[in-house]
Amino acid sequence: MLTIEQLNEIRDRVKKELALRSPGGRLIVGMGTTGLAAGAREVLTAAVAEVNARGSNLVVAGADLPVRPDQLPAVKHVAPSGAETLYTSVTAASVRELVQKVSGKQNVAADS
Amino acid sequence: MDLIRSHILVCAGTGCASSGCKKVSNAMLESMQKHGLDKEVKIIETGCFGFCMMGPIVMIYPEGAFYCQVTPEDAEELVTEHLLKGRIVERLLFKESGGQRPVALFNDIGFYQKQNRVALRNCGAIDAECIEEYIAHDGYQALAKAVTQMTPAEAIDELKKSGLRGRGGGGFPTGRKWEFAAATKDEVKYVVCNADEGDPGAFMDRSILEGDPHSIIEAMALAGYAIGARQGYVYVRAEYPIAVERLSIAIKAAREMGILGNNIFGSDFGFDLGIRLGAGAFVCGEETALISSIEGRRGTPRPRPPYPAVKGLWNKPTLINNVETFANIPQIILKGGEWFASMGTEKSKGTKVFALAGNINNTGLVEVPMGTTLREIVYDIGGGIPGGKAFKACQTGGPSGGCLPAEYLDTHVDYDSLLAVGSMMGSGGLIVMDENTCMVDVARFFLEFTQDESCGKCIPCREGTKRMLEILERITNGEGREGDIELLEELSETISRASLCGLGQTAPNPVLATLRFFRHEYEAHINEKRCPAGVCQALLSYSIIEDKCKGCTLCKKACPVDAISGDVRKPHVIDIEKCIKCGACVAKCPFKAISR
Repeated sequence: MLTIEQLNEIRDRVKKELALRSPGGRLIVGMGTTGLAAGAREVLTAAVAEVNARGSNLVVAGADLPVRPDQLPAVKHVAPSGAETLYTSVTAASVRELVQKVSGKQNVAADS
Repeated sequence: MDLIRSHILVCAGTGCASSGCKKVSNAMLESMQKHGLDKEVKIIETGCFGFCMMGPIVMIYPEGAFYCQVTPEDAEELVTEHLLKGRIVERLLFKESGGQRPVALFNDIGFYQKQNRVALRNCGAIDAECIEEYIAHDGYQALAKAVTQMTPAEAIDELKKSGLRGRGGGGFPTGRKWEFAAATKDEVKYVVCNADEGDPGAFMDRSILEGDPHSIIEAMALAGYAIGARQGYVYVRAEYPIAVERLSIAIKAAREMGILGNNIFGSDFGFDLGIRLGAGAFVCGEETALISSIEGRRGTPRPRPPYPAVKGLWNKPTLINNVETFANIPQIILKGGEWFASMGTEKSKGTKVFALAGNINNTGLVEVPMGTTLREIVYDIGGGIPGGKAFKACQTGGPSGGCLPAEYLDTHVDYDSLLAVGSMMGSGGLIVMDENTCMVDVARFFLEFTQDESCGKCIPCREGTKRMLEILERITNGEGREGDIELLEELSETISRASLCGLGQTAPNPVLATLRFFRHEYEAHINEKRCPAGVCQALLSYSIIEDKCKGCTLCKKACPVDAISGDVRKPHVIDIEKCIKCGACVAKCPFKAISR
């Protein structure tokens, strides 16, 4: 027998996994050929790992960001409000910090 | 924990399955493995997105990019460009008819913009084989709420408040049906889901079973709670193998999780479900024939009363609802009857799913609020008629319905408005016909269907439809006689009034509807031996208009029986003895120089 509490626990857990199918805050990693050459893949993987480790509802996506090659890898944070912030010359280490920073805001925004 | 950053939703409904979606998802997986992305990107096979003509459909999240007519050869590009480099592959996006720019997002496509998906809410959005995804979309919350917070009477009241009417064709108020079944006193009662969808061109029930089977399980359990039944059956045709498979998986998962069985959510209520396969007889959509078929007997109807709510399956009180009706119910219990009643018209609440087919640009499944006009469905959602041709009529209600001409395009689609203009809602088949459609031939087609599907139990239907079909065949073969129209009308009235079940009672409708609006076409066939639409072959005679013919030889090359002769740059001639009236020459002629 399934209890209502168990049903709700499944709902909340899986909803989080399905967050990337819903509109909301995004962390967009500039990929593209030059982005990949500058290490964007490592940045993206580190961002996804950090999001998962923190259980954040932040969604990480890849895109072809229009950024100067010397500023790559670049990451754009799109807040649930739509406000955008661009971060340049990002590394795997710095993107982890970024995830921590924006996840806090993201969760506050999501809760409010 | 998996580091999933992207979901690829591949439509795996019957439509996309037949256009090769499995090969597409296999090719995507193979390419992802090659590029080391298979641990961070997940492929999910969903139910029908509704936009069947654009299948196989692939939707990639988090971007929500909606890719159409994807082939296995496109998989590598989608993986390297979209998944690896983050670039949308524009050439695979949808382009509106006449539009230049591709549309990236599903919600921006005209086909979806005017839709309001309630019954289809999860179709294409979730993995139909994953109970957890259904739960994440508030699945089974309505059942939990009902069995722990509501009395059966309160659940029925909520349904009555919603104004939901049966979506299978009858349009009977669902709340009242539940009330009747609840009021009948018996220790054993049954809930049956009628998934014997048989209208030509209709596939909404199949899509719901394929894309959201848990919503049907939840609704049937709710029905069981409301009327006091502990057992339900889904009667589905064996011609729907994907629907049957997904429903079986869903029932098993619900049992394993303890959602089906005893003491559901800690209450005293218990419910279980079984599947019964039908062999595809149209008459088994009629509830008493359906009951007979589940009981293992030949699927033939019986007179009513007694209605199934009093004496149904194995002579026990039985509640029978259609798939689409059930699919609305969890949302009604969860969000309240008033929420549902806020959509639609005064007497037809909520939304309705239509299977849009025929001569229309965007074929597929659409769900619109009741009261939407036919014009909005045909032009705004359906994208209009292909090839710039004129709209001639649309058939609503399947073989039991009627054809409405262009002057009725502003009719609101709801139960009463359609009946008022001589058609009906039916289960939701909507077939659009262009100027090249012969309405007598359309009536003949539907009569051929109902005559073939007549179970033979009652004479008016068995013999009457046969005689009507004979008359229609002779009219379309150029052998129509004076008095045939009157005879058709007389037979129609007798069959409608004297047949035992809905099949026979509505079988003459396509003839009556086409006679009402297109009587002149019947008269042209009978009196002038002419088919105005140029469809009925026996009435056609192809000839080349000498003044218009440039002697380009295209018709000569197109003719499969070498019936056309003539020299280059000189008018050609058709040998009527050899001509098989296939129309290949007309299709090829660039100068419209061939008359028929």
